[in-house]
Amino acid sequence: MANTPIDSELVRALAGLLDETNLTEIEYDTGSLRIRVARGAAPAAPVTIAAPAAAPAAAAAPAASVEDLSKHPGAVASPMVGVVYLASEPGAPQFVNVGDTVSEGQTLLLIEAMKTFNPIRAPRGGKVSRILVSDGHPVEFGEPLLIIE
Amino acid sequence: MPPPFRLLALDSIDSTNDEARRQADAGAGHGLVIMAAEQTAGRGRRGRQWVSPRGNLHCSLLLQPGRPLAEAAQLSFAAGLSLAEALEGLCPGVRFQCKWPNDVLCEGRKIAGMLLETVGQGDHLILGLGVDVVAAPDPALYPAISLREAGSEVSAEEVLSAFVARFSHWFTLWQSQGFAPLREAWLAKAKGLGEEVVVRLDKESVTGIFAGLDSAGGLMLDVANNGGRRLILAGDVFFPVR
Repeated sequence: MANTPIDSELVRALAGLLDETNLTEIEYDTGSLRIRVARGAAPAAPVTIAAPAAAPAAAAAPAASVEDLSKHPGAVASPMVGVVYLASEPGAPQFVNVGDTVSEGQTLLLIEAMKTFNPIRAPRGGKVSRILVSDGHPVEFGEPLLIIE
Repeated sequence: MPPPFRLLALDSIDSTNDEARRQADAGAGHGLVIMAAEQTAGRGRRGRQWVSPRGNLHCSLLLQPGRPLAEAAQLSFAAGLSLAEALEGLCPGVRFQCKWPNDVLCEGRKIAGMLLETVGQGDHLILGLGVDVVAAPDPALYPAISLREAGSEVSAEEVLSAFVARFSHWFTLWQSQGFAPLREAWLAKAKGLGEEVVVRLDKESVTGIFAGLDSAGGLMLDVANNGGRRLILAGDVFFPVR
């Protein structure tokens, strides 16, 4: 799917919905394609829209980012649904920051589900180029958590 | 203890979960049970301190569930249910209930705390358990009680032995039949099912009706004021006082 052209109609439709509903973020997932449209930097709890509404005439789109980072070669995917934590406990320094060089096996973050804590470890060494999740927020199975390049 | 469970009894340790991790790093396998008379750095969820005086039970079980991480979290329910059943057997006439996901309540108050952590590449799971046998800490997040206060004279060793026996049963059943029987048995002992609860999340609190457990163990919450159904995977559950 690497050569799939960006469906700008769909993105515009989602951006329109974002304005209309005053949401901060919309995530659209067909199984093979996932698009997240968000305003600002801080993601709220994602709202999944089952099917796109008829595309309204393209209004001036809000700052939209189109991401399908799950196929990024450096993506570290979540092995489970749960809540993600960037530090071992509130107030502690983050396990890793953007720009850090990590080695294989190093703890990157924690995911909690049903009071079970699972450290997510670096599958390989490299440099953390992006952290895609925010502390205390839910993550889905297979969701890209961060990028190591 | 039923095999493969075997006991390593210590006098004093920083934390039985930390010792279990060191034992796993040193090659220990499934079934090691570590018990300490006291912990000097007992921990709870998200770095909370767990007060661990002598006479209470502090122990950790080292497990190799042989299942993906997402399923291993279901052992939280096996742990809570096993402890509730063990205490019911030891303390006739005292009421024990389960609170999502793995708390055990005695006469409505918290009698134990658990902390599950995976180690290594997720193949080992450490189940940490603290039971207030002789003393409960000052009320903090949730009202607490000890087995002594509830009128029972049992010892920490007796609680551990009864717990491991029940846990061995549920662990084996979970491995052969999956989550369904465990989920059903847990729900039969759950406090607040169908009633209003407050769930404190990392950054907010949500009020709603505790509608049940999903197939993975998440708490299904029908949010108040037609807020829809929300699936809770992590948080602290409270029951409003009426």
